[in-house]
Amino acid sequence: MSLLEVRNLSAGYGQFQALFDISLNLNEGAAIAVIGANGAGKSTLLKSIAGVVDVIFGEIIFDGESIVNLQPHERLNRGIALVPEGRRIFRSLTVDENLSIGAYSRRQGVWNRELVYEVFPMLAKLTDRRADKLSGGEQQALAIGRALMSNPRLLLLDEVSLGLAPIIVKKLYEILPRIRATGCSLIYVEQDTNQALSASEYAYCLLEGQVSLEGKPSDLSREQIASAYFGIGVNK
Amino acid sequence: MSSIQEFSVSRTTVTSRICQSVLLICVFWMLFIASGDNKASQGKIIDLCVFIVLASMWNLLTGFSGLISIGQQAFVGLGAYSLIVLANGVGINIYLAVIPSAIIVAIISIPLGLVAFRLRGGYFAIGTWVIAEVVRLIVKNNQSSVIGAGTGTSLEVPESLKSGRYQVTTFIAISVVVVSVVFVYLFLRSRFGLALQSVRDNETGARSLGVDSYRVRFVVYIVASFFTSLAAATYYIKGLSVQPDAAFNIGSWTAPIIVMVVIGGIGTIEGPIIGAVLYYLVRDFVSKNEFFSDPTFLILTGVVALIFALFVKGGIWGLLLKKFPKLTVFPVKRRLHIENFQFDQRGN
Repeated sequence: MSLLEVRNLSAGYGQFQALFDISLNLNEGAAIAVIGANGAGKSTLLKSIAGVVDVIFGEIIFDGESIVNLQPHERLNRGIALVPEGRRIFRSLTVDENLSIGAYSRRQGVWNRELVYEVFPMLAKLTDRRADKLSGGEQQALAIGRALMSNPRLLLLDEVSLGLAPIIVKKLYEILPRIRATGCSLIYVEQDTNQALSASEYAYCLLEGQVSLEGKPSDLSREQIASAYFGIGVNK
Repeated sequence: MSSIQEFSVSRTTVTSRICQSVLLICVFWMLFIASGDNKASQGKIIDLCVFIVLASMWNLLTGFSGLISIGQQAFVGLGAYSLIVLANGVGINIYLAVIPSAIIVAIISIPLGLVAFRLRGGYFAIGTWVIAEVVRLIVKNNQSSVIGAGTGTSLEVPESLKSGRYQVTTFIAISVVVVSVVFVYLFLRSRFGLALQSVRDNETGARSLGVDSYRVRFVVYIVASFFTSLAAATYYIKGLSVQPDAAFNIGSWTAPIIVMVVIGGIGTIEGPIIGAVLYYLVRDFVSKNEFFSDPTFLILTGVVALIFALFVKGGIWGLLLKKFPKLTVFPVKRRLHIENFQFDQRGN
């Protein structure tokens, strides 16, 4: 059954339009990847699903109901949580307090402080540390853990790998199956194509604000992806 | 994998209990003076209490919510004039009129906030000042006998209340300062207070976690205007005479408040209290010296505040914390105690 349906979505920032007529579908419990180059509109797509960007035209259906007119906090109450690009942790607060704010919506579910610390052992020993004293990987773990505290049905992950060492990225991606096991659906946005495709069942490639390619990762050839990613014909 | 069997969260520490006891002794000492007959000392206590409240509220706005206001004098003036209207106009007992006048100002702050909140950052700061000026001009041009236009008016004290006015006012001032500081403390410890600090640290992050940043900040704006006018009303039961140019003066209210908070330590509960006490002691000490005339004093405090803002960002309380990291009077941070906690072999 379809958990999220985006229909003919156009969105942007003030005068600037970043997305043109995007449609995508996500089934309950599934994981999909959104790939594309810098400025393709990947983050804007996630932000418009989370409600932090103005939608110009189109429909976003979550769990059978239109959410396009809801505020970000109302969408979170329904179970859409965003892990924003660049982590956006609360620097002056401790790890523990950052998690407390994740639980601000008071949505009930399996996720709580203990489970987050169990899934992210790297955070468990840093509970009293100020978030700006954490490493990049720890901050990213905190950003994901914080979003999980709201017990989301849909977790939007915006460039988890950004600025992190490959070994840390691998560690974080190893945790994602545990999140999916709790029944949470995922949308990854990544520039690192291989990482994103290997972790998802379906993929969309964006180019200049439009879907340039979609399909199951196993059905997509490297050439197809390269041409959809860069917008140029790639000859063998 | 690691396992967590038992854990508890606490916020009080031994040092915080000691510091709180010292503070409590100070309060009792002030109450002792309040019950005496020394009007000069009582007047000083009232002024100090008023400025601690004003500084704490500006710090709540700027230090904890990231809302830079340079228009707090609007709420000082409105507090003063609400008191005048309720006491002189309606005829309510001057002491009983203090809380209602603060409630009136809190209600007035809602439409003012709706205007100010259309602006952000530096524009918000300028906007608050403009609003304060507009309010001042509206009051100044009100020719009614209760308001008294530009020349102002005086709070009428009935014969029956004239004796013991300083004593009662000192008691009110002490109550107001205690309630304000305790309120700020409890407020910041609450779920709402944490959300407030998250909005200051990163608004996008807070919004993506479902914190309604607009509402959170608006509530703080109203709360700050309530307590600011509460302190102002207290101040004017002592001072009695109210003129619009003095009550809405940025130089006599918001400027010293900013200096106090910056010197004491912005973004902490303790900082504004230390800053206000220090500013007040210095001001009192140099007031007899002719060299430190009003302009000279303003210039000097401005320079000192600049030096602190540039080189000592945490203020005096920040310096103390560096020397004594465990020092805390009002612990807002939660401490997690984990028992039987095991790390896995990789050291995670």
